[in-house]
Amino acid sequence: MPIDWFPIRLSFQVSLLATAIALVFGVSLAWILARLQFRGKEGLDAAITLPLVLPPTVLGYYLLVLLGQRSFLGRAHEWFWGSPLTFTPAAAVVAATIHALPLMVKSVRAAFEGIDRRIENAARTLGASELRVFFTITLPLAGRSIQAAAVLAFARAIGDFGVTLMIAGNIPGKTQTASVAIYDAVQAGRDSEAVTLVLVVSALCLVFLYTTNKLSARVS
Amino acid sequence: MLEADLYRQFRRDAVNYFTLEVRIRAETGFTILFGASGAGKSLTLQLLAGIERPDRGTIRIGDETVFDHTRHVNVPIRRRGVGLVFQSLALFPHLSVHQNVAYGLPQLTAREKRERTGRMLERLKIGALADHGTQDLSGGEQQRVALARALVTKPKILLLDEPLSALDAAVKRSIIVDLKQLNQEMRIPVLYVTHDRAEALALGENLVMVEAGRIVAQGSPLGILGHPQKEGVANLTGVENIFDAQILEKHPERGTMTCDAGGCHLEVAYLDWPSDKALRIGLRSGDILLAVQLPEGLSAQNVLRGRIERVEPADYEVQLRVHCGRSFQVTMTRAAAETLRLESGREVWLIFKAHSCHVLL
Repeated sequence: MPIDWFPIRLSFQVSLLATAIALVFGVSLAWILARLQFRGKEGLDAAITLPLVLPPTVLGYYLLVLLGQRSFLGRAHEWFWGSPLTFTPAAAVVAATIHALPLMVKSVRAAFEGIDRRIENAARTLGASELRVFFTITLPLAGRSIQAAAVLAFARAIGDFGVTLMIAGNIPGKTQTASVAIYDAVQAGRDSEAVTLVLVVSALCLVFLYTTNKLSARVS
Repeated sequence: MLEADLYRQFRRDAVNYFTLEVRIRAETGFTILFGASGAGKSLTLQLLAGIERPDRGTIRIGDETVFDHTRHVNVPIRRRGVGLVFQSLALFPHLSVHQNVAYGLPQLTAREKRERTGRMLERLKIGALADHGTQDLSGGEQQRVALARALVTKPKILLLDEPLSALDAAVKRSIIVDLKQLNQEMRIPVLYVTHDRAEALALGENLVMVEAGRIVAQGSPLGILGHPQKEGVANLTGVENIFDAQILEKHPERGTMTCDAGGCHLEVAYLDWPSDKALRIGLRSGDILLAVQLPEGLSAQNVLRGRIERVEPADYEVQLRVHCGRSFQVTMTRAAAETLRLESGREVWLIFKAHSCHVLL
């Protein structure tokens, strides 16, 4: 039966982008939380963790209010990019990132906190700037954990359903990710389509996992 | 040249639970920072390196002021020119030995790095380990890597925090020999933290004793450790026999005083001390001689008959507990103990000079 590759391609594109964003912002936030002291630190931590705790439809609703066509951010986006944020692939990226990010922050923060400060201080006594300490000592020592967190984040991103459905919608050929497409096919009784999608996505995820493990094994 | 005036207070819930207040001046060569755990020695090093920040004071390294709280000067760690070897070594686990040692030389080319680190590693007798990981090295080898890493950057001062504490006696001795030679070559102030008397005596040119955040004694190592004047110092410096005594008779014409040490009488060097006040006496276990028959013709004023209670062999020496009215700890070499065939229950005579009984204040 012919496969519509669009949802699968979209899911991968969205998830890879979401993981990349989560990596950059997640590692930075993790470092801030692990190494700096400031008022409101635990509040920041709570805010980042919130998406993990809220039910998906609740979170989806809040995001609609925050990013919808009538909101400030929504209108700013439309003004800047020429199209609204909600019910576009960009919204799917937001939905995927909003769960990937807290997972990344939590894991990487724990990894950073587990690094012996004396090793970083030794690097400083040898003349290293804070940036050099971060890239040559902190990051490599947390490397394994960051990799593991990235895989976890990707898995979470590709599996997102509730929030994606609410803010990106179910527009075939535009915002219909694989999870949503499967739901749609099951709802409409298109069983063979559903099964095909499920098997393809499962296989691709396994290949992805295998490749990532292989890569990290070689690096270490 | 190092000059530092440090004050740092630790409080918890508005209660002060540790205050460090020290003034240090170190010339080139080894200055030993001596004291028990928790005295504040490591903290002093951390303040000098910039890892911790004093509440007030000044620090001058060479001709540069790296910290002055009144003028808001606080040079960051990386610019202080301080070489630091942590007690835990803190080697970079993800880098090879060569990469560890070369870490402080980012401005050199790869070839220059290899040359510099190669020479330093050879100097410390670990040239062959350059491309090894740091995890599979022995304790002594890791210690040498940590030293090489700190020294290769030609720091202005070197801070060593109990660098040899985890090593066995033979390895310690070998590294001490290397340190002394390096000292001759490098001619920078070296602050060496230890609570080990033997290390202090082997290395020290100058000794600073720290207790509860304050300097309680300063001077030559042999002077301070050899003749403890204060009980705190005595406890740390291997004066194993400390006891109270009462003056019974003074003999100023003979230069001695007879004292009752609870179970036996001792002859102590004469001191202008009120007879009614109790004395606290410290007697080092290594200063006591032992005889298996009553000796004659000795200059020593104290010859006490007793019985061996316990014999405890250690690495290179033997510790004995001898009861002579009161229990004394005696230390001697294994050779000595074997020659005399000492064993528990044997009748012996303890011999020590009046001058070996240090009056502690």
